[in-house]
Amino acid sequence: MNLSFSSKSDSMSITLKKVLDEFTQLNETTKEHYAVILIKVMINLITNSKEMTMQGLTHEIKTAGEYLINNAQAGHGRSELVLRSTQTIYQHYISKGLQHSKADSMEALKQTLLEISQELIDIIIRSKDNIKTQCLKFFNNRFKVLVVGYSNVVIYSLIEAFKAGIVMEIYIPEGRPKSEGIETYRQLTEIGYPCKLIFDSAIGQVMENIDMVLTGAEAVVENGGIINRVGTYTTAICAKFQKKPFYVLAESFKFTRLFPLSQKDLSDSIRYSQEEPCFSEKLQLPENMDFINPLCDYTPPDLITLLFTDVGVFTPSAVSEELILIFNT
Amino acid sequence: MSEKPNPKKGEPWKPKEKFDKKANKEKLKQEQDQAETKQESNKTAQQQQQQQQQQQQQQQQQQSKQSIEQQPPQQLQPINDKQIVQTDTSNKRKDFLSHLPIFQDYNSVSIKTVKQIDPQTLHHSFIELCIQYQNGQCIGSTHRCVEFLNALKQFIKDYKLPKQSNYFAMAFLTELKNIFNLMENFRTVNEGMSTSYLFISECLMILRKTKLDENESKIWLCNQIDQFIQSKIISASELIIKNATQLIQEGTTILVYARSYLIENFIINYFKQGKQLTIFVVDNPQFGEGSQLVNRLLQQGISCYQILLSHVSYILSKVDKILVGASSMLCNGALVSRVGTALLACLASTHKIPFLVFCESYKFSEKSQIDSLSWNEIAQLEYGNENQQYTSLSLRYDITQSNYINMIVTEVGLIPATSVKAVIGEFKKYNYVDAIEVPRVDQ
Repeated sequence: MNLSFSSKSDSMSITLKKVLDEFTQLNETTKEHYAVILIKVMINLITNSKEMTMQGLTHEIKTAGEYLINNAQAGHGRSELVLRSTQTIYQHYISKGLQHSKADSMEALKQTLLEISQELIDIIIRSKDNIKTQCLKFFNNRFKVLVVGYSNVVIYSLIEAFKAGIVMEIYIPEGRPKSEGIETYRQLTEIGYPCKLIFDSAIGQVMENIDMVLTGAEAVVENGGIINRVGTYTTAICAKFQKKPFYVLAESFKFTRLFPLSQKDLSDSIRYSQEEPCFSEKLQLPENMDFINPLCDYTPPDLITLLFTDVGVFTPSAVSEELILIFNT
Repeated sequence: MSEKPNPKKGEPWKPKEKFDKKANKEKLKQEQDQAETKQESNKTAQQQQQQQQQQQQQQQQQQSKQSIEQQPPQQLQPINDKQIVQTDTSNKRKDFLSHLPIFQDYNSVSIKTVKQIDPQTLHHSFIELCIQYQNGQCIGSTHRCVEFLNALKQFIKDYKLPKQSNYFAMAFLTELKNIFNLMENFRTVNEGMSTSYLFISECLMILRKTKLDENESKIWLCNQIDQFIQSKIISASELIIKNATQLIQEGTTILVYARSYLIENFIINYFKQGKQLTIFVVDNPQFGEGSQLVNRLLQQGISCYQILLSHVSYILSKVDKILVGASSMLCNGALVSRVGTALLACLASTHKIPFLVFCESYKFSEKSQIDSLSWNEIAQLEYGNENQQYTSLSLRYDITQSNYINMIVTEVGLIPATSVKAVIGEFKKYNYVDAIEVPRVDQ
């Protein structure tokens, strides 16, 4: 990573390491959303910063954000996309806030930044609730739902639906290679849902009986498609063919300005992860086997029926208008 | 029972005069106009002006290498506003396309009508522009818009306020409307020109409130038009090329249709950076614009493949992306472009090849259209021989629906086809263009 001033490089790298340590510590100990953790880390960075100019401070925030995105683990095998989109929106809000602020001194400017950050945290924390209230209208008793991947928002909405008295049958594919479907199964059966675990390869066979497919997203791209755990694209194709609705639950800070046209347009770090996949160990695995282990895939917008976000329920074509509103005001 | 008249040999079949009301109306109109011109042709002063203008235009004609000398010389008569109308073929037009205007290229009749326009009705810079439209020198939406604005600047410099009015702004606004109405007769006003009209009327509204005198208003208006061209056309194209260069990786195979100012500059820019592309240029033999693009690229040292539209299906398996220019983007996400683009978009979607449109934001329109025949231009309408009763028709534009378009590359960013109306809404807040600087009066 290139740092522009060599005299400051030592202090810069110390702050970066501190930021990274803080992030990993908070991620492991608290149960908060990793986007919230990112902003809390930024708040600490701003309060402890020794920069005397606004330019310096914004530069520090930017480099710290980049460093975190490249090196931090969001947990549960997620990619860096959520952190990246949160960082973009955070920087955009900061620059807008600085433009419109009437503060004179450095301390006052820092205060406005801290207020903006706190507002953003509140928005993120409330976003789950907003999505849940919109989702409840679409859930009905004795529906059969296929839940893809491990998504906090989806699990929260289903738990709230159970508390409201709606009981649905849930099919959960395992979600190789990270097998996070098992975590979803565990959390939903604790509440009392009747769940069934299935293999990923059984999705096509089960799709006939399903009433709707629910999934989260790692990033919502500009044309309304989503980037999500690998396997989502396959499930979406199955659902489209069987004419089942495919619903995506995503908060508004996951909207990015990416615009992939096909799977090739995703960055290499998302398409190919270097970890060895956990193929089944029942048979003896060959030595030095050649594998492709994509982390995420891109689902185009024509496979998605509706997107549930905290700013409203959209068809995929409306995502671009929302993005224009977020980034142009 | 209606009896079918047997067509006599050597005569085309004509509908009975009783039942063809349209033909009757036009005949009456022509007779009236001829009566008017006979009265005016008695004035000698106008004839002298005509001869001077004819000399000017003859020089221009020689430069543009037209073979007009072959036509028999006719007595030139000055024409006023009512007469600048397409004539002679309107009797025989088929009913289902009679609502479409014809602007035929290389047509001797229409060039004659341009020559006969009284310079008091239409300024000479516009007449030169109309001739360029007619003989094919000025085609393509960006080129036409820029040439029109240059002609308008020339007109502003020569314009003199009539003695009745004191305010430049109001008088000029009515003049502008007249010009647009007259230009409609020679080539439809395309979307870029409509946006510039809206921009200029906004400028004139601002001028009304200030107290600049005539010269200063003219200078300010010309400056504003320059800024419009610079920001909306030239800078926009640079931004679009920059956005597109990030999209397209080195070594991909692209397919290009007909000739677009943006795509031509993008390819030349890309090669200047030292990267390579495989280019297929698809040509429509009716208009020959693909060959012009190939020649231009060869001049820059870029080699490409040229194929016809009917041959596209067997090379599509080797193509990675398709790039297309636009005449305008409509509010419902549809693309108005050279005829043949819709075919290419259908083929692209069946082969799952991304279809990209390059369009500046000033070409975004609030109109909405779903089929290609409700509005179009007829480029050529030829009637067959006397014995055969067919007509050969070619249209100039067609409509590509939004579900075939993957992405639009504009200077505001990469947007999907459905968000055209959101971008138009954003621009409406700023008077269709960026904020116009109010002129200050220097005292």
